[in-house]
Amino acid sequence: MTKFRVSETMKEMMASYYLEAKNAAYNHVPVAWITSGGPVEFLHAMGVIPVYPENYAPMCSITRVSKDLIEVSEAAGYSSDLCSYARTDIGADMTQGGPILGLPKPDMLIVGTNICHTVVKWFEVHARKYNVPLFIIDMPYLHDGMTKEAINYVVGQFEAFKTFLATTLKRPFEEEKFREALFLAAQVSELWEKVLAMGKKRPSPLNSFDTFIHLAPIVTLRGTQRAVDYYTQFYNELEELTAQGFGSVPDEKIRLLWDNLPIWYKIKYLSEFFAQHKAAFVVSTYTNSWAAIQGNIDTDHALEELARAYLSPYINRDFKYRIDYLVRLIEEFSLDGIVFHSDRSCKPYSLGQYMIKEEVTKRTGKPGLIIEADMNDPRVFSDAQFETRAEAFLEGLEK
Amino acid sequence: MFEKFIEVNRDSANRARQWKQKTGKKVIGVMPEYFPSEVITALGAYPVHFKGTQIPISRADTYLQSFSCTTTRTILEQAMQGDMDYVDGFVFTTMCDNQQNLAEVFKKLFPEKPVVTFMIPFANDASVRQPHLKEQLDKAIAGISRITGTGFTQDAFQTARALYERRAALINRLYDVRRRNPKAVSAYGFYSILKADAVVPAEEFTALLEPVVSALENKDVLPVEHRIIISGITPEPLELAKVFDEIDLSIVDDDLTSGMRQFSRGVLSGIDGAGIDRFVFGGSPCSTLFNPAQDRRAYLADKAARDKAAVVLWQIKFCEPEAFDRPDLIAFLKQRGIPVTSFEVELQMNSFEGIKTRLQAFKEIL
Repeated sequence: MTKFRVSETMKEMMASYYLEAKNAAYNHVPVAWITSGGPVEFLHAMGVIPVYPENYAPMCSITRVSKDLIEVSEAAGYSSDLCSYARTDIGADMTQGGPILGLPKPDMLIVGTNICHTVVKWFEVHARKYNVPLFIIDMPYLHDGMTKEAINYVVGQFEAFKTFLATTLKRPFEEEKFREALFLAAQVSELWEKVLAMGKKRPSPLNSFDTFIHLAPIVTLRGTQRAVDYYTQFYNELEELTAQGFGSVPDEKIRLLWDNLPIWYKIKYLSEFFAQHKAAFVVSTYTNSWAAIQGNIDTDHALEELARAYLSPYINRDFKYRIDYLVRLIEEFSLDGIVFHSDRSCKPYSLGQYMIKEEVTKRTGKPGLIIEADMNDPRVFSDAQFETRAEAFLEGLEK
Repeated sequence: MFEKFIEVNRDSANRARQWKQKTGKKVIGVMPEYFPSEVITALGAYPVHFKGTQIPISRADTYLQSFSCTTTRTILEQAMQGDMDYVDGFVFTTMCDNQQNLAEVFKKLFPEKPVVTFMIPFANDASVRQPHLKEQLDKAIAGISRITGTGFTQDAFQTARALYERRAALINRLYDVRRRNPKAVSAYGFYSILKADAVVPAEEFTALLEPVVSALENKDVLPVEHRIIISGITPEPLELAKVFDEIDLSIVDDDLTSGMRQFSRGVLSGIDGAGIDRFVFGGSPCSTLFNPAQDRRAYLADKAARDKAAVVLWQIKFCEPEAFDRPDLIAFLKQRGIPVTSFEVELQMNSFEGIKTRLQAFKEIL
């Protein structure tokens, strides 16, 4: 993985964010646990600290404690077939484990369904435990493309969300601060898009293993000035590196796309494995999803635009869209192939990948490799099996 | 007494083909619950529900990973093996992520068969979700109309409603008989009837069931030793129901999505937002629905206490909604002093010795 100057800034920023969150109760600041695709702008408007179990779970994985936490939740009756983020998070919550010794207790739970329905069931577990309100913003899967009906449905829920926050926090909803958060969030998403677009350069100054790590601020701090400053700095650094002809993978020969969530506990190993084969992941559907959350707030219809943005992530789209999108990325990023992580924990991302791979290859002639694994449960990954398949795939591309 | 229903289940695809020919109606495949059959009937079609079978999986593995549930995989297998050739179009409800993606797989694999999706909403607020449900239903009606070539009329809807009310009343009588006299009907016989309901046209079904229910109502009441409520999505594989009969665990009631839950909510009252909202959310709590007004744990505990019954959670492997509910549900029931056990099945299973041993051990503690 590439060592950028901003990496230190990110570490400090994330440490400071988690410190604030851990001290929230002491400072009488409310905390919301929220899903990664949840509309965080509303929380920033009301001074609520958003905390992301979906960020904490990979932190546990990277620091190699996810297996132990998963086993705690399984011992408590949570099936090994359930999402490994949920199992890690429930285990961390039961033991107050993981790198920051558990997340600060929530005052409310906020779920966006634009990533899966699993999050509803997962957060219901927390709602029963903590006896705090659970608010769902249902952002329906776009079987028929982006429709006016879906947008109106989400806008109705945004309005209800404002009322929910005002009622729960016993103070009026702060429209002025909301607009400010919308403005900052849009800026962050735009900057993130520009950062990711640097992958089009040849050689690419960054790769997907880098963007998986540098995703943390846009997930946790979207809608804040800190995130805007951070991604401005990151983008500037990438421009400098590009001017110097720097490639994140030395002597880049093969350009790939990563589909689905990262395999967090193997991120360093995978990064080194592909770098050894001079293969760079220059784009991923996963990190691109946060670039899709771009509301145009300079209109009289900011909520409609925001609804459209939150409905947009790749995982919330129909297969025709997904196939067209991958075909487009192959062209835009000059790709040689795609690696599909068939993620046992993430069914909405994974079910259908075989079919998508087949059709994308048929349309573009670019091959795909399926890796059967899991994003957070290291017990599922086999080094030997992966290496055999990946080496054969890369050798085919070299020819 | 149950042979006719068992026969239908043995050969459901051929039976459905015959009924299609006999009625001359288009067939709409429903995947799998929470869409009102009365609407399909009113639009001049014959609804057939697909809830998974024991079919061995071979072709479906080409498109679905082994970590999707066997309900999803066997439905696709049926379609790929030609067991749905008589179906003219599908309605998919988005009960879970598996079903949601399966709808997309069907769209790509069977482009000649239209897929209509009916999204089950998760919004907290009924005033927000009802207009959305109404839009979903209108869209589904338009989609089914395009398949059948028949428009929606209130007259046809009221006729269909009356038919499904008769069917629901009969099934509720069947449930009442079982509650009052559990030994009157075997678990296998009871769920064979419900399974056949997914395939047999409603008129035929009521005609077949009426004499059966009347006969059961006249049976002598026999004493019962071990009273059980089963809870879950669907009682598949159906052969497993025989294990309950063999070891004398009397199922007195259930809380299954394809069982009591669908008959406890009544038929669709109208195609307005409130009507479809009541239809989807008006039954007993379901793991696949988000309804903060209901607590499945308390509901099931109260039901078990009322029926003086123990609870068995009949769960399908890889069913996330059920698996997320299970630990809290078990803890809650135990806290209330209600005996509870659970097992997980895959639909293609044909040996139930392990589950039988588990249920026998459970019986010992009752």
